[in-house]
Amino acid sequence: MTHTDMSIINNTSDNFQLQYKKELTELKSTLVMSLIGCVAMATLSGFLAGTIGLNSTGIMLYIPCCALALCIAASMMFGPLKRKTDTIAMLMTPSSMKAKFMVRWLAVVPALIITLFLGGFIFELFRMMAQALYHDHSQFIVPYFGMIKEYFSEGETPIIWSMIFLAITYIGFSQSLYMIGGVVWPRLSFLKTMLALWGVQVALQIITFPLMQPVIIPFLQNILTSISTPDSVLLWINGTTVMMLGLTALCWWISYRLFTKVDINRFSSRK
Amino acid sequence: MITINNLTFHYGRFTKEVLRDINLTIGEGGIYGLLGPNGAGKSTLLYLLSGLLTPSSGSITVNGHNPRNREVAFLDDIFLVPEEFTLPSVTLDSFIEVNAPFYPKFDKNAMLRSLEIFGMGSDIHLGRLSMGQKKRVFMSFALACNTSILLLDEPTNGLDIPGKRLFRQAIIENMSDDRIIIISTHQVLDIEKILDHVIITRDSGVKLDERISDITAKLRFRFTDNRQEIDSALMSLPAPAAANIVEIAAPGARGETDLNLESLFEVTMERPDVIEQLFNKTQS
Repeated sequence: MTHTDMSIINNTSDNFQLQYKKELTELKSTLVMSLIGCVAMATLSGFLAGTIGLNSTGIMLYIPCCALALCIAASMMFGPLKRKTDTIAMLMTPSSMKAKFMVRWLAVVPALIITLFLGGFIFELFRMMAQALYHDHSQFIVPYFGMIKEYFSEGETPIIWSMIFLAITYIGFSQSLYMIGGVVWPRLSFLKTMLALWGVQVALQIITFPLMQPVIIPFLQNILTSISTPDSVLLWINGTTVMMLGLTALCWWISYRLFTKVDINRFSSRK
Repeated sequence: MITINNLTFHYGRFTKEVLRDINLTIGEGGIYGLLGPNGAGKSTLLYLLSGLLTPSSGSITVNGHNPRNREVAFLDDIFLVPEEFTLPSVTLDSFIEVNAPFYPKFDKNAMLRSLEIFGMGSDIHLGRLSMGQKKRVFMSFALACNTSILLLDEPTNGLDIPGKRLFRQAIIENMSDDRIIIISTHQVLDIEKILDHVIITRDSGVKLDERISDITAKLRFRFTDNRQEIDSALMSLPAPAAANIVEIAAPGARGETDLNLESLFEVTMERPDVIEQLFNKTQS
């Protein structure tokens, strides 16, 4: 193929498509391993639930595992920054920093979400096949959708939807914190970020302790008192969701700005 | 076109400057040798030109771009072959399919020609190559990208003796008038014959920045066993029963000698004052 043909393929100003194709090609084996890991995680959740007699709620163990996996994935987003050679290769690739950042997120997080769903469904297929052999009646994903449909038909839909959206937003916010950790500490990112968040939490508790009795507890009591109608509950939930969305956007911006400032000075022994 | 103005760089806030107040302009195409002792900042300069490091002060402009901004238009016209690199464990065809589209001027025929020069086929798996073979493949890809600026950091490390000769051949065959190739190396013998221009760094500064033709017009490089000539030379590198010497050419003298890069490097290290005076440059 000549250089003319190559220039036709290259049709985006920041080379987003090319960067995405490159990333998926290089992550192919990692994605396959992730899928195997998700199937294993779903299997473990299903069997653990069956062992303790909660046959239909294996999914309730799988969902928190998925949330944890998403945070771990976010902290691994900038894995190439662990090594000098990979950092050079990433930074020298002719695509914009914006494209590199978004592609890393897309190739790691949404890809993992899809993998998590696929993992659960593949386990469900295995379960159905095993059911034929062992006459086992435990269930994993399928009855849960039936439960959700039944619950929504009971008329609590607006609040339930808001709570689900708040839960998803909270997972997104947690993930964005681990994204910041991923770019600041490419090595042992999840562990260091978790320790840092724990440290911040402890520091906040120490700082706010003197304010607990005079300010914080009365404030929380006022909130609880004001939540007396479904509309006020919805308001608080949606308000919290909006606040969390704002914080998530801020964390994304911070992690992107830190990413644009990355260079290979961090690998120098001359510091 | 590369323009460096008052560039200073140090790795840590309280560490010694690796480069101090460097001024350099590379305007014309050619093969530039970047030489210097260990720790002189050769690789650092290449990383600064690539945007992989941020200057502590001063400015760098490469083809009208600030490298640190890492714009696509800058990145698709510059290629760095670092001293150490990794290649993905894929076939060469897959590597080209994924990476070549980033470079608008990529020429696959040029890559195949370079691979042929290096004695390698195209039906290869990158994960099964030795370090020397990977270097040949990566170099071939770099040359085929046809970027106007190509930076090579210790490119002959890991190459065997035939490989070094083939490296020179590949560089020459892929050279063009408007292309700038900067080779940073300690292996002066590997690149001596292909250079158009020499830049020598030392003590955080540039001590020499001259065309080969200008150097050989003012300096003579000879091998002699004449004791008197050795004693009166600007600098001499002893050899058994003789020495490689460097002399200042007499004004109006004809008959240039071939460049001896090792001798030039040594005389720049030992007699920087003479070099500075001879080439009439106020270097940092």
